[in-house]
Amino acid sequence: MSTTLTRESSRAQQAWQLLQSLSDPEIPVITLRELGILRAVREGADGLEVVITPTYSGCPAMGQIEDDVRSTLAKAGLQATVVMQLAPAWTTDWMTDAAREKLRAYGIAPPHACASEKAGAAMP
Amino acid sequence: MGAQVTSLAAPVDYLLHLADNALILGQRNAEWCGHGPVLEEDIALANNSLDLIGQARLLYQHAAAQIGNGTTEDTLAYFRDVPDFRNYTLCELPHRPLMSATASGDRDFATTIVRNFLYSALMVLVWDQLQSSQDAQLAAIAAKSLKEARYHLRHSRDWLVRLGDGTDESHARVQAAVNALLPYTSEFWVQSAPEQSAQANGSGMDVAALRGDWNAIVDAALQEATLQRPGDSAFVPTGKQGVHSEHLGFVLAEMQSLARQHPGATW
Repeated sequence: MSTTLTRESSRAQQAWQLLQSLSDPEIPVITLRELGILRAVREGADGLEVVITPTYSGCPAMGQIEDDVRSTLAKAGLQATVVMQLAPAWTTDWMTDAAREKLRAYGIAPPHACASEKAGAAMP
Repeated sequence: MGAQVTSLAAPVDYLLHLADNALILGQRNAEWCGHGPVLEEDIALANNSLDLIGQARLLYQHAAAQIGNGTTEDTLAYFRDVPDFRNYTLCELPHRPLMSATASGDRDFATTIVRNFLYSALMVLVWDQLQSSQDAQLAAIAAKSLKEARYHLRHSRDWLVRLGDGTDESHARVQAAVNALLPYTSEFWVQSAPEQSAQANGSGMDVAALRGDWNAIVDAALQEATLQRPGDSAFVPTGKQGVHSEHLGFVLAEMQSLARQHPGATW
């Protein structure tokens, strides 16, 4: 049983490593991880689950992101269910400092203050 | 992506009421796309529209999961007719003074701003309450939508004050829009059967209890904008019960015709 657990968690870690380098479809200079869209990779009841959170309700890139996640994992022989998680709601607080600097260098003014309350944090 | 399964779900008609409000107002605001008075406003209104359509999608997906039988967000948006829609009448009205001709294509920016203000002032209160809905998926949608409603309110309130406390022309037009649209808000406070069911099972709340807070938001903004609030009238619209103005049919005709001409089309 402990063998199974070790194998599963290493599979989730492998997927997380692969997905960390996936870039945002609209802003290719930053990754989904840096943007805070990629939340977690975990073992669910029906296998591997990749948890993503939309930046805003109408984000048209979510379908593309889901496809990118699936094809990245498929290349490594992994299959996963993509779970769209709404709560806690995405906030610019989740963006890493490195991502803010990359945005600035790309010509997009990074958010520096937040109008809403801080909430949640991404999986390390 | 699969909708989250929740143990307790809000009544389908209540979810459709919330979704239809967002979709119909989103469709209306999208009429400004490419026609905004300045580029910044064109983009702002298109983004407001995208937020609302996004909220509608999440709510329709949740409703579709309860209905089953192959129902999807698309069948709910594109294959229902006027009496099936549960949106407030306010959301379907055209962007022009109500007494102008039906075929008029004019867009009155003051009408757009006042409507968005009256609606988002309500929705910041509604979404805030629904964050503690017993329907976990609805609570998650509410928390997301609240953040969007807050900046919709900030955007429309800023413009309301700027137009009201602006030139004689802008003041007159925004006052006319307030006079025309405020009576339509009386519908907010009359609980429908789905709203009562939602409150009873813990997924909804008593919308009439929000009236005092809503009045405070509206009155403070009108005062700052140097605008007068018209007195209450006996008129109560019935959109959320499926009895609509003549305008919703035109909105649906434009929004649904493509999907109905090419049923099942994918790209």
